Amino acid sequence: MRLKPLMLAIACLVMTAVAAQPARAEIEVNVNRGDVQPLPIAVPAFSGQQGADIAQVISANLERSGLFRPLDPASFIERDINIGVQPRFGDWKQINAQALVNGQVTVEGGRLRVDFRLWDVYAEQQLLGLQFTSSPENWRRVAHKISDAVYERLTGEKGYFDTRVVFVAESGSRAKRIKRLAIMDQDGANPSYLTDGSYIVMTPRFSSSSQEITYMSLRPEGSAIYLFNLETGRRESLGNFQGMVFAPRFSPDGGKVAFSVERGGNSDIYVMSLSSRSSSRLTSDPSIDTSPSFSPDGSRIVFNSDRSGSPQIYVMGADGSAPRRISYGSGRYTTPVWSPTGEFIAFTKQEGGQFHIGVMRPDGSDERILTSSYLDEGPTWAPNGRVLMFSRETAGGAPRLWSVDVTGRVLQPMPYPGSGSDPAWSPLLN
Amino acid sequence: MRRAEVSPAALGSIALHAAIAAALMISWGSRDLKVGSVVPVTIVSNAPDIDTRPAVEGPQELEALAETPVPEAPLTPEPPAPQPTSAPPTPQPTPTPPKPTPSPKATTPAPKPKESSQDFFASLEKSISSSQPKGGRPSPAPKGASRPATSPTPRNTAGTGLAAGSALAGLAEELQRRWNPNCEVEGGRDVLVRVTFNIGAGGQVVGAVKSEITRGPRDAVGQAAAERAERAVYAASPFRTLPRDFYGERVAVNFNAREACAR
Repeated sequence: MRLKPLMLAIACLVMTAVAAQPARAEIEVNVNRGDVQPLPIAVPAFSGQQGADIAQVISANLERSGLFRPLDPASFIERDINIGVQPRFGDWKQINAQALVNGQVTVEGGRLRVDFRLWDVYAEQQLLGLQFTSSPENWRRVAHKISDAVYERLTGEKGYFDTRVVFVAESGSRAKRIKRLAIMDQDGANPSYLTDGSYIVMTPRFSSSSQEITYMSLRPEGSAIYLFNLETGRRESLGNFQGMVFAPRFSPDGGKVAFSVERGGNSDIYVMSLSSRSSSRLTSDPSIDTSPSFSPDGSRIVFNSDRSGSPQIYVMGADGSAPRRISYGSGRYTTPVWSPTGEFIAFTKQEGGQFHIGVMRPDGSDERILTSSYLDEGPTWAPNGRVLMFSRETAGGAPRLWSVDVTGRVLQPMPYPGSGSDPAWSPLLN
Repeated sequence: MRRAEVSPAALGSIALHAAIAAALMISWGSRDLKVGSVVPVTIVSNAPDIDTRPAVEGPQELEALAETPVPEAPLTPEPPAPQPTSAPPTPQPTPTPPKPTPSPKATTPAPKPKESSQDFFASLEKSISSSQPKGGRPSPAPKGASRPATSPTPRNTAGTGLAAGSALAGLAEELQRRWNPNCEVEGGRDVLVRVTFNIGAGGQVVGAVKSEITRGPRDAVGQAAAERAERAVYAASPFRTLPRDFYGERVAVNFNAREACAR
């Protein structure tokens, strides 16, 4: 019974001690400058089979994004880093690594298991810990998924590394060039052909909702638009049209395809429902209307038309209503593509004997020219809307695939060593 | 009327409870980081296999790849991989239940809220003096408005005048040299993050560093931006150029990405 007053007294003492802490004013500091640079990150070789290869793919992905600067493994102080223990943060601070990715690869029962962790070196805490399992031959894909996870955690933006690119692979002399539909990982690895080169293929486009592409092929009997399911290998034609059909592109939900039909020197834009196979005409101007591309919400279509006298970019409703010109700069604008995030429209611009890849807002404002060369054309967006791929051709040379980010700062050739054009970026794989 | 009887078992129970309560009141000090402790994997996900081979029309197509240089790594295992010599795949060290996730703060300099008594009284004195403006001279500066340039705006009492301004300018400079704002990401360049922390007796950050997005997106981009601002604070600690007057003070730093990214 006497314990109660004692406990009360102790409680009071504790409360008094807490209350007696002086209330402090805060010193306020404003920082309006920074050291803007790619984030220094350390990606040591993962332990286990193919651990070094996986780390190398992650490192290359992050570096190619332009937002990260992987540090030279030779500078690492801590070696034999075990995923089960915390890293020696002091060692990583010493080489100015702001983030650290370490991991471990094991094979159990014929399955590859990759554990990895992402560490904030200065806050000394784990930001991410994930485990992936797959078949051993699929290790590159696991590396891409880890790259996406790291990229998203450190930038807040979705990654784009676990994706593929379909494109037109070109070989042979200029006079007898063979064009085949091909597909590769976004880093140029695992390329394979989808067609045999016996007929010309053009403008492949990925569905944003499935592993399906549409493309135009030119055969002796005429042009046709095909659908090609990459998972099943099934290929089908969209049907026969009077005139030449070209420039197909999926709607965001994958339920429709918009394309152009040319008859007697006049081309217009049509849209076809893939379920009913009924099509409707969206433009009827006596000019060349082509290159339709849906807005991400499917409500509008950006396209290219020379109705004003030179090729310019227009936006209309998805039903063809209220077309409105949005490009007013000098030069000729073609191949508009709406970004997956909706904030930009990419285009090819020809001006002053040079070709450029550029972006503008959907209302035509904020035009930025990102590249310039003898022939840059055909931009396609990475699914996060931050990077573009396009084809670049030098005078007398074969076209190659290049990429550039929306700032124009990170411009680089794709690792795919062959000749290619007309790239189309896939959405993130599931 | 019966007298209340206390059985020996009840007495034992009370004594036991009292002992436990007393033990709980004992401060065992901050726990050191357990290097070697197991960190649990938090999420498990699968990378499903995707076989693109059906899409290839025929095996001869793959042979044709030789026309162009073969891509990169997969065919040639990279020799210079810095594989550790003792590289047997380490078995998952999970002998203990997967609980002892080291607290992130456990690795930071041990939070020492208890400063020396001298520091305590000095800060108390400062706190009191801050509530009583000396000489009745009101600050001519309007309250609340911050300056457009990188500038300290001291609003407490840890030093006054030119010396304090210079010290805080030095602090701002230390921070801006280590702050890497997320300018390349949409939304990241619009964020204003307020980071608050305490400066300990050695000029180091003590206790929790807290961040709050006061302008801009409060999504994953905002979170990444806030963490970058926090990272700048951790990286700049200890603030060795800061006079001792500022030890024990609480600091709020406004990291303005819009300004920084516009430069």
